[in-house]
Amino acid sequence: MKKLNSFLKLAWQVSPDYLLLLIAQGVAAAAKLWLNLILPKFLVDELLGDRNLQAVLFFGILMVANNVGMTWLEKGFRRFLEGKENYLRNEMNKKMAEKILNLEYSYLEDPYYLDLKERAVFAISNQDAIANLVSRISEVFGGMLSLAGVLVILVTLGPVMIAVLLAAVLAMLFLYKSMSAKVVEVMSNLIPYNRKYGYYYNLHTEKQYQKDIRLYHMEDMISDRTKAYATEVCDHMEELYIKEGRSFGGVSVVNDAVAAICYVYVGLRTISSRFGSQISIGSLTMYVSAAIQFTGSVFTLGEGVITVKQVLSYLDPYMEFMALKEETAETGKTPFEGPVETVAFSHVTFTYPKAEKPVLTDVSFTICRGEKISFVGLNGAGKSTLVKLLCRMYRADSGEIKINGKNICDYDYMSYMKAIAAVFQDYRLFNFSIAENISCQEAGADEARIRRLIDEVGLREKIDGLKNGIESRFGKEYDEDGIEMSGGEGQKIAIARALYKDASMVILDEPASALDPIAEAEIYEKFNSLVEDRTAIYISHRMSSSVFCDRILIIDGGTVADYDTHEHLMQKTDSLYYRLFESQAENYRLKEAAGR
Amino acid sequence: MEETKQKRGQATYRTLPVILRLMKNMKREDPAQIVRIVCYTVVAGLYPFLAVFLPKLAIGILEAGGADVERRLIAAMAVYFAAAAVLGYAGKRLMYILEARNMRMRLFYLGQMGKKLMQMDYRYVEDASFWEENDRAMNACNNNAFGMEGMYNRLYRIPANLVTICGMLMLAGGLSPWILLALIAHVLVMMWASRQNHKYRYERKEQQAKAERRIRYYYDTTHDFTFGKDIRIYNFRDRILLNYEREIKSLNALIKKLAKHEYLIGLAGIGTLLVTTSLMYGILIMQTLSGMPVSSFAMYVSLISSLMAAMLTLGDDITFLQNEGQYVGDAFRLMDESLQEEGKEEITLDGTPEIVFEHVDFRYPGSDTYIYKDLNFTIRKGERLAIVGVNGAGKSTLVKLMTGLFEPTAGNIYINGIDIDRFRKQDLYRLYSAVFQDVNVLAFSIRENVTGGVRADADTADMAGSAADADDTRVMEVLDSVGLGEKVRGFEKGLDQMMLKIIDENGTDFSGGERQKLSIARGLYKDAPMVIMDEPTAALDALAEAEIYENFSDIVRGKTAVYISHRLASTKFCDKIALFDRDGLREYGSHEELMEKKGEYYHMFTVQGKYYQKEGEAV
Repeated sequence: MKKLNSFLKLAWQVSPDYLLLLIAQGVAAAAKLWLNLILPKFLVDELLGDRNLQAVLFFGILMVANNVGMTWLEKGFRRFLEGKENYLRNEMNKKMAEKILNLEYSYLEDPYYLDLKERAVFAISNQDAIANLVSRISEVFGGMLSLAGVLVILVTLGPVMIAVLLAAVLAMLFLYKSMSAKVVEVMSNLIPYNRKYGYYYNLHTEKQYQKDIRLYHMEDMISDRTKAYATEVCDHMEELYIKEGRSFGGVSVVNDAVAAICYVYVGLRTISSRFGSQISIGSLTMYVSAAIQFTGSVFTLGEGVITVKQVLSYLDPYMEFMALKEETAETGKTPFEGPVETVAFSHVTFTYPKAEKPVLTDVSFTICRGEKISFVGLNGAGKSTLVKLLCRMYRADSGEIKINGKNICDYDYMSYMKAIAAVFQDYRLFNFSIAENISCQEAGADEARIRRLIDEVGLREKIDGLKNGIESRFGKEYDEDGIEMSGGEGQKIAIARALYKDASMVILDEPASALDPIAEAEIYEKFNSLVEDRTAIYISHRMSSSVFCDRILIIDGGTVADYDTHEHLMQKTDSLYYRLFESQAENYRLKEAAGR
Repeated sequence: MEETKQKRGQATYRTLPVILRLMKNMKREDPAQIVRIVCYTVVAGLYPFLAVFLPKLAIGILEAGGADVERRLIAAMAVYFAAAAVLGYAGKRLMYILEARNMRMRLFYLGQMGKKLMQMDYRYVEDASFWEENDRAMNACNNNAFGMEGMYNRLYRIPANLVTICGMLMLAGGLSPWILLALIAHVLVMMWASRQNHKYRYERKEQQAKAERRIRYYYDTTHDFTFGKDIRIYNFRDRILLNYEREIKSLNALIKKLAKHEYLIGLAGIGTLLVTTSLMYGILIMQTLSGMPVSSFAMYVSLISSLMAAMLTLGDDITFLQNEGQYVGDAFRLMDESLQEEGKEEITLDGTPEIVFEHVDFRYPGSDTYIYKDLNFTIRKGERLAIVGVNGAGKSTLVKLMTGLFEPTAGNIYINGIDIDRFRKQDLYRLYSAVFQDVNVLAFSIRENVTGGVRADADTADMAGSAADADDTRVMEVLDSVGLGEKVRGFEKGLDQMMLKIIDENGTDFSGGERQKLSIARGLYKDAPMVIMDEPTAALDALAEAEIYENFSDIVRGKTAVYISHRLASTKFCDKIALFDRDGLREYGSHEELMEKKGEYYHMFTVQGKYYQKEGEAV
């Protein structure tokens, strides 16, 4: 009930008119049904009694009006509901998107939340849970209304019929209970299978896998696995279908019994007053239809309640996700002002959530304004983690990171973010125009500056060749005329973006991995002039890049192994830095190369 | 784009043949289903009559009156109940079994479609228009409510419905023909409206798909956690949400238009409904007033409503079959079409290949820009060739051409003197062990990730115990030689350890370097005559890079090999170097020759090596 409540609240926020429309629809459906029970009674009574032409025609016209008018109304409802339902579905997705964008970043790298998101998305997209739930809730609502209306009619017949119907309801409840247990069982069994099936089915169509599939002849392996899971899903579903066939068969028998008993009982009431006050044949049709309608309503109601319960349980991951803590909720108050003067890590230890071992232990170092620092270490040493901590994507377990003498977490988040620009190794571009990707602004960007940066990162030729120049949009999925860029070109855009941002600290994490040697060298050689007087941090596996830097921070096994200039480090011939540098350098020594 | 469209043809599959094909497949795959349909037709065809007769039966007895009216009423109702219970129960049981089996029938198509997609020529994979055009066709095998399963679920109930309708029409024979005419007109108008509506929507499906794709973009971007960092650092959040909302609104405007059209078309149905119900009540009331028993009045009212419902269902089913038949027809066309253009000869090469490019022109389908113009170039037998060049020079495209993933726009490629066109695709793929920069680890066991599910020494997947053991030994061997043996032995399940967490929560994931090693192990296991490495070390640290270089010599022993990289150090262990620029092959020769030449390669090498020189050694 609580879940239902919070879901309805969410839906109400998104689209109150959708819910109102559904309520109106439920009322109209119940009204139509009720009138269809009452009106024939008057008509038949009139036909069997006075046979007053005017009265007969009056009731006849009312019946026609009810049926036609209500059908018309239904169509009208459906016209608006389609749009609203679609809107609700997309908006609920957007709500989740909003949530993701507001989440504390650390959630985004935690496999648990990644999985939670997948599960939430699966329920919403694959089971169409939201639309399903809302329409079922309205069905339950309508079912209750009609049930109430029908009961009002049936009560006038006296207790016997109520008793019969009660017995029927009990029988149906019994059938439902066993079926609903099965539904819950099968459906909960099914979710993991469905997800697995979905994963393997996607391998058929996802572009990135297709080369491997063809060259390594994986199609049998994949299609066999997909089929195996599909068969598994079918096995479960078949079990459920067969159970449902039995139960619904039973329900149908109960319905027929109700109809037969009802005709007998009400029929007897029309003959004499032995079982209660005598009634008319017209009332007979009304009561019998009402009784049949009653079981029918119980039926839809029961079905609706089961589905609502079931779908609500699907929505658990969604609701759990929507309740996660948001980032902006806990930010310092001090606005960050002025350039970065000093960056100081003191005794920083950090463990990724749910990891056993810390990735950084007791890390301390200081960077001063305008310095160019290179972080060097093996894959997985913790270089990128340092960057993430600095960007406040995670918080240190212990120790402090201070900028200008103050813990970075005490600064207001938005103003702090303004001080940092970064190119990540998995940088992303968006399907906006090139200019917007660089300036991160829709309007009011400094076009001259964009052009200068494009020039400096070496993209001028490329962009001059485009029909729409810097206004060209990225991405074919968005626009047929959208442009695509190679990995190297994309990296150059990402670099330009970092440089456009007026931040006093620039972080470049593997910014040139996809660049060809010439472009890479150009970028590195220009870095110093590009970053101007900003404080800069580089991470690169190209050891030659560290030659440019003022100092090099060596991270080994989560601790600072050294922090010195290139010249000094190269004198320590047993150090990691020396080994790393030499392993690449030996391939480029011209003397040795000549001797090969 | 145009070429592919022409090649694929646009033959439309008509509804009737599609239905016949569906039924034929059903008869072959699950013949019992046909028997069930016959039984269902009898049972479900008769059942509605009981409900129609019931009021007449009961009211008739009551109207007639008489001494034993009570006994007769009870007896009649008992008979009614017995018949209804049996037919009703049997009908429901059959219905659910039928639908369960129909679901299974879908798997049959799913398997066919899946194979087709994974075997079709790779150029379709990269052709966005192919996916767009065939989206619904592919989904036809992948959906419960629509496509094949949807059609089967309509098809089985049509005969029963026809029985009901014919019977009821006969019963209604005594009725005024005007009512029946109005009824038929109403059903036809409803069918017409539904068809019009479908057409209207079908014509706008691309517009809708486009709007949905745009929403999808924002959905994907926000739901893909890897965008999280840039969105935060560059504060893209508000922009994205704003655009997202804008796109949702624009789709909504379209849907409103569609719904409005449906509504307006549907008004015609309201009109005929008005005529039909007015006629029905008017005529029946008049007849009753002039002497027809009320029991007949009740029967006819319920007869006509049942008939109307049955006919509307039939009409609905028929339009559904027509509409959905279009998509299923598309799916059948896709399955029938030859999406594999290949040679017919079974070719097994002797030894390692030599690849010759002769006057090759190439541009990607749908693009006007040529990647190569008149490319002439040879990869010699047993040679290790390094391919280097600037971004955008088409280095990776070269790999796609020689592996047969794409075909040259003009010119020829020869493998050991045999034109590549003559090869069957599978024989061609068999020639290469390829390792790419983006390593795709799949959620299968480590063994399956290495073998690709294909046993090197047996063609069949099931092998006898000893052969399987021998194969496992080989899998371990290759894992050892790339330096993953230790790690794999550390898993309790060994080679059966699942990769990734998406399927198995106890699955494992490797670091970037380990993934790259796994993919090299895959290449080693395949033991193909030719090895291709496409930027395998871009994301690796210097020591891991050096390790890969060492492995390289092991893998390529006695084979032809191509190594593509931005890191010119890779040229150290290659015999020849081909340097490509945006105009194609620029320089070719050994490292020494090219250094001597002091051309582009020399420039690149010195630029990259500049800062690796010891003091005083700078060039």
